[in-house]
Amino acid sequence: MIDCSKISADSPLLDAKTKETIQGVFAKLDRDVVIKAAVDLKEEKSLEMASFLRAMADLSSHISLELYDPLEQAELGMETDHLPATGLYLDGAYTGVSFHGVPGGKEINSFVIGIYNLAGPGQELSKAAVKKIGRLKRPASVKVCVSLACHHCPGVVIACQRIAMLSPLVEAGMYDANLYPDLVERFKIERVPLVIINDKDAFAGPRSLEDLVQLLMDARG
Amino acid sequence: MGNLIGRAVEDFRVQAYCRGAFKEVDREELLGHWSVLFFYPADFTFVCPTELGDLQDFYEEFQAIGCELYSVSEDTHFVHKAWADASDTIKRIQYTMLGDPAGVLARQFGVLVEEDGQALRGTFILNPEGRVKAYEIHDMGIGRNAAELLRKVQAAQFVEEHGDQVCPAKWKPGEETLTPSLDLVGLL
Repeated sequence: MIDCSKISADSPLLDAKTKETIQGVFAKLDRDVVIKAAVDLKEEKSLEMASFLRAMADLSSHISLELYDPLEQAELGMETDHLPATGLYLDGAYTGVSFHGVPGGKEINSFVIGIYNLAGPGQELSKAAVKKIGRLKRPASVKVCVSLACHHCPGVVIACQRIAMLSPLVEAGMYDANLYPDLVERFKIERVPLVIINDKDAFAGPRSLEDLVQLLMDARG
Repeated sequence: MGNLIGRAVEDFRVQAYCRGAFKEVDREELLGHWSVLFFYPADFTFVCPTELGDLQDFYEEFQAIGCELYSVSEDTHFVHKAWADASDTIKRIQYTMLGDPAGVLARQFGVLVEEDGQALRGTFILNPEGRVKAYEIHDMGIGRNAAELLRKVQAAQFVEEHGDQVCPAKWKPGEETLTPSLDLVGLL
């Protein structure tokens, strides 16, 4: 494990006002969440992410941070081919929620809300939606490809990750497509948000949580 | 001539050459499906067959997405036939080649160079209502790319179906991380 104390918590991505707002949200957390990230500190984006995560972890006593060098091959549970890769963990277990790339721009919202949904009271969700998520029977891996300037994207990331939090069969990662040309090439990404299920089916545009659950039910394995 | 986006194709009737035969094409034929009008300066030139052959290579893909192709030059349909008879590249073209010797179409779309009687390399994507959704106009010697045109038609179709609910993207790997834009209104 990387010694986090060697990473600067002075992230240029978080100014005082932003930190204050996030602190207000994190004040409502009532469970401990562990952020684990695979970062290659030789790479600029990983360094940026490590510093961002340190700053975020400093905003709540309910958040702790563990950083790993990809060479350590730590058992993180999440996909670590696309670095920096960051997962959220509760009670020692991977929740299926991950972020690939640095959640700057609009994606700061999905990162903050992701933690709030996981370790805080969470956003309201209808009983019908919870029930429908409970009916998911097949494992599904979801990639939500975004651009950081896309205002439609965080809503889809938040919804997919909410499903992942509530279903042990689903994992959902945010991917900043700008960083991963292999994904852009493979899935011919020309617009975002793009939801890719099991690396097979791709759906562009915003969708409600209920619609996303239906897509997962209909998805090819 | 101002911006053409959203403008509907006006009435016209021209003669055309298609797969060894002549036919008449009018405005009505462009309606009910996506269309591309692909203007080029003249038959029997060198860049043109390359472009038109490139377009033919992608013709099935255009058809698969419900888009019909029409090349247009200021030649007559008879000249199109003569060119097809003389050129292996043109002979294999399956889409319709419009003859516009009176400049009706080229003038309507603002690509006619009056003193030369030739059209600039203009490409116009029309929706099923015959309205221009995207276009580009190149000077004579600047060629176009059928693969890029296919992408544009697909993008236009997507936007027509979904409105502006997606963010188009031109990916630049390694782009600078954007400063967080925290807006939790409606999320909590």
